[in-house]
Amino acid sequence: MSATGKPVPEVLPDARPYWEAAQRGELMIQRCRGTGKAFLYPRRWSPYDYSPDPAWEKASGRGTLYSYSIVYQPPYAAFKDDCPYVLAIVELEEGPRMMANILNCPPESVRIGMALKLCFETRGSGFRIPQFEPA
Amino acid sequence: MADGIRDKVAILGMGCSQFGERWDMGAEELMEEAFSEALADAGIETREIGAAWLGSCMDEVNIGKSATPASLTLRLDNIPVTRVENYCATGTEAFRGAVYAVAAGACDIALAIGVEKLKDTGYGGLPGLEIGTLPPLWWPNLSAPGVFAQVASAYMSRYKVPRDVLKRALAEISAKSHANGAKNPKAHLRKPVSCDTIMASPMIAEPLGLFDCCGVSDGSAAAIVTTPEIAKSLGKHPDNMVTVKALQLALSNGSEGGYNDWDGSYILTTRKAAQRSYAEAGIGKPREELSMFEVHDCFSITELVTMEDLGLSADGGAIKDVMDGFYNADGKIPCQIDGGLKCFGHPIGASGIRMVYEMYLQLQGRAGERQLKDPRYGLTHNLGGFPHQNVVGISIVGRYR
Repeated sequence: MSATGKPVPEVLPDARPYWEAAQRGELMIQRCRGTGKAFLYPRRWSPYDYSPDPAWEKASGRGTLYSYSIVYQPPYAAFKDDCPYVLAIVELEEGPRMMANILNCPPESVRIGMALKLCFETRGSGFRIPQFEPA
Repeated sequence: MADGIRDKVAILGMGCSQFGERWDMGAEELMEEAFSEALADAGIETREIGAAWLGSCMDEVNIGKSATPASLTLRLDNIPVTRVENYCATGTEAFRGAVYAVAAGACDIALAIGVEKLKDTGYGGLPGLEIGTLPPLWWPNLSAPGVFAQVASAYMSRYKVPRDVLKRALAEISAKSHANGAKNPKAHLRKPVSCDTIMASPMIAEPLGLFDCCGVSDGSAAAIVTTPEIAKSLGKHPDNMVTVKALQLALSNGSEGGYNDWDGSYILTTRKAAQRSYAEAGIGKPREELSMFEVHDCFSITELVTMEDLGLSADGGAIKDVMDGFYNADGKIPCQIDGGLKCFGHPIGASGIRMVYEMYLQLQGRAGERQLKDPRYGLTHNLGGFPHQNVVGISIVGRYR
């Protein structure tokens, strides 16, 4: 947990490229060598055909809003000051969908299908977490 | 192809504690409350129980990791006792263990008991759960109401439902459960609530308000099962016997959350478990044959989509059925006739067995003020975890003949 109480992810070996990229301000995804499909979350085999060692690539950081809700009651006290905030599913340009918060815009202005771009939330002593904001 | 467990196992006795804020009792006393009722109902002695399953998921303070709390508390006869946990399907999982043991011929009489004391956790919803190290990668600021509210968003988008129309149907769902729960002496919340009150309640996660969320409670429930033959030998009459018709479990394999083949407007695992349950029970037309059901209404939207996932309402048709009163106490297939999680709260280990308890009472004509006319089949449904990563347990019980 960070000083603010918000959780900071534990960086495990399989996901190290993902988190190291995030600290550089980039979003890394993986692509199955057998099927050619991109996917999240990071792992050492493809969830499609179990082929080993999926390739890493830098995502464009562009996506659209697939679905969302607005959270008014925080799951933990550490998120209280963020409320109300948008809990979204973002469809990346490369195909995979990921859960993220939509930052830097009023929750009531969020619309399904809206264009989004990558941004980062900083937690603890400077740890950066990929999030999204209106493009 | 296995022929399933239909009519191989009979329910010999059941018990259920009072649900609610049980500050005056520990988990042991709650278990004893449910067990003593089940034992008296079964008409047997404790020593006749050959194996037991304890369902408990969150209650580390009171229960801990092993099954000894059940064995010690109930003074079981040094029999095998197994503790199980599987998210919110934990109670059904315990029931499944006991039923499978009898169906397999591993023992003659088995016990399933579930218990949880959640009020002690001091948390408004469910307490924090150890979820491993991977989920934080893609669950930013996730709340349980938040992810289930996403199902509402996806449902509105898929079926082009205006927010006001969905909100009204969700209010009808909660109002119906409160009306039913008001007639149940064992329910935690026993007060009718109007749709207007529900729709005006504070927002938790858009579009889910306070009354779209189920309660938090302490409770325990127990089931004693055996074969129909042994039940008969113990004096139970076949005309009044309740047997297990199906027990199925389906878990997410990652396709919903990680591989993007799913639009978020339904629960895939419920559909899978329901198909297998109907096949096992020999039910071809659930909308015609099912008499009543209890679903996992952690949130009102969950109940709405489950009506469709179980094949009782057509896809996109649950709102019309809800507004028509199809699932009300006086409707064609009453849903949550005992008040549901909405009024009982959700002591996780107990919930699945609590649901079967109501079906059992109804099938025997013992449900008092809530009694339905001539029910034949009852279905119970638990959804554990999150829409994109979950465990679904379904049981179908019915009259032996």
